[in-house]
Amino acid sequence: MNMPIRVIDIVTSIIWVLLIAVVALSAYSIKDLGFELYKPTATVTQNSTIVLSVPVRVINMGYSDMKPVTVTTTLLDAEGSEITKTSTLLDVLPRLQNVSLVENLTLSAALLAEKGEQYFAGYNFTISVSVGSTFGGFLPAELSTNFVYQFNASFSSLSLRPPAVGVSASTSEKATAAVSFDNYASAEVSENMRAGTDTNREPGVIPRG
Amino acid sequence: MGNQWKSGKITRKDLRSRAVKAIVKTALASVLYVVLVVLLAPVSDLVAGFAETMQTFFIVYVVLMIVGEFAARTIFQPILNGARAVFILFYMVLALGDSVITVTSENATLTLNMSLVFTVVVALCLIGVASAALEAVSFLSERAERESHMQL
Repeated sequence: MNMPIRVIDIVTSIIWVLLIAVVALSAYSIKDLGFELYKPTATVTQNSTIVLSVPVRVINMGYSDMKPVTVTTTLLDAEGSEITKTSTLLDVLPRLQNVSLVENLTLSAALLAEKGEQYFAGYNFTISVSVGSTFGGFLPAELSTNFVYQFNASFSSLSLRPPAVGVSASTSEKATAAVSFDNYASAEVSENMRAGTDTNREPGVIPRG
Repeated sequence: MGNQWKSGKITRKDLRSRAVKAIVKTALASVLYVVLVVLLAPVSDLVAGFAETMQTFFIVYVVLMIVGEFAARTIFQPILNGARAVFILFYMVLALGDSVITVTSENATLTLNMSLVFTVVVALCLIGVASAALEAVSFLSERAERESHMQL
């Protein structure tokens, strides 16, 4: 066999061995990547935006540093469409250590209103968290999970009881109706209630039931 | 080597040396396989059929390697080397598909992007095929040269 062909064979054999070694060691290291999620909390800011804070703890139980590590948190609606997303880049995650961080997802109240039913029946969002890193310098891997986060209704079980009409000697009548609802939302409700009459009906007639 | 080419026969000594080479290469490949099995044990636990796939790959690779070793200094050696490179190439294409491996376990999903590894493997396989073709050309040209010398 010619010497150049022999050299090509030797060089490719060395590259094969190196490639297999790097891939095997990288695959072995992937098992050491993990993360823990804690219960998200929602806070309402003064400019009517809601901030969902998702605490995440990224764990590196391997014997080598991970760099860089990207933590991405995405809020998805019930149909799986992305609403908002946030990402944190860790330059290095030292070996046998963990890092705790809080991923803040900001969404506007107007966007929540678009979801329609959330005031009365709540709304189920999906929060997806993924942690990614590049192993062995050229094997990108990503570990992800998702869970359902219920944005509870502000006016759950809203009911209007039959009005009681009081007739007075004067020309006016006073109707009293009891309204009840449960606020399961993470934010307090501070709104004015306004009652009105239906002007198309005959005056003095209040429907039964 | 020259005497064998002239006579066209394989001597017992030559056969013995080829067998020794085949045994040494098989032993090295087996050691590498065992190390890989240990290192890739976490992946084997997650991916169903991964261990069997690796086993099949190893058996076919070693058989082609042994046959190739016994066919040394014949036209069949470059053919078998080329076949081995093509086998790896097709095996990788079938195994990796779009180069992204997704493993789902309980509520967690692990996604591996093997694009770069796949590219390097394909490049090495193509070099292997090219090397086998060059080997075959070299072998045939040497034989033709030898035959022309013998005619003279």
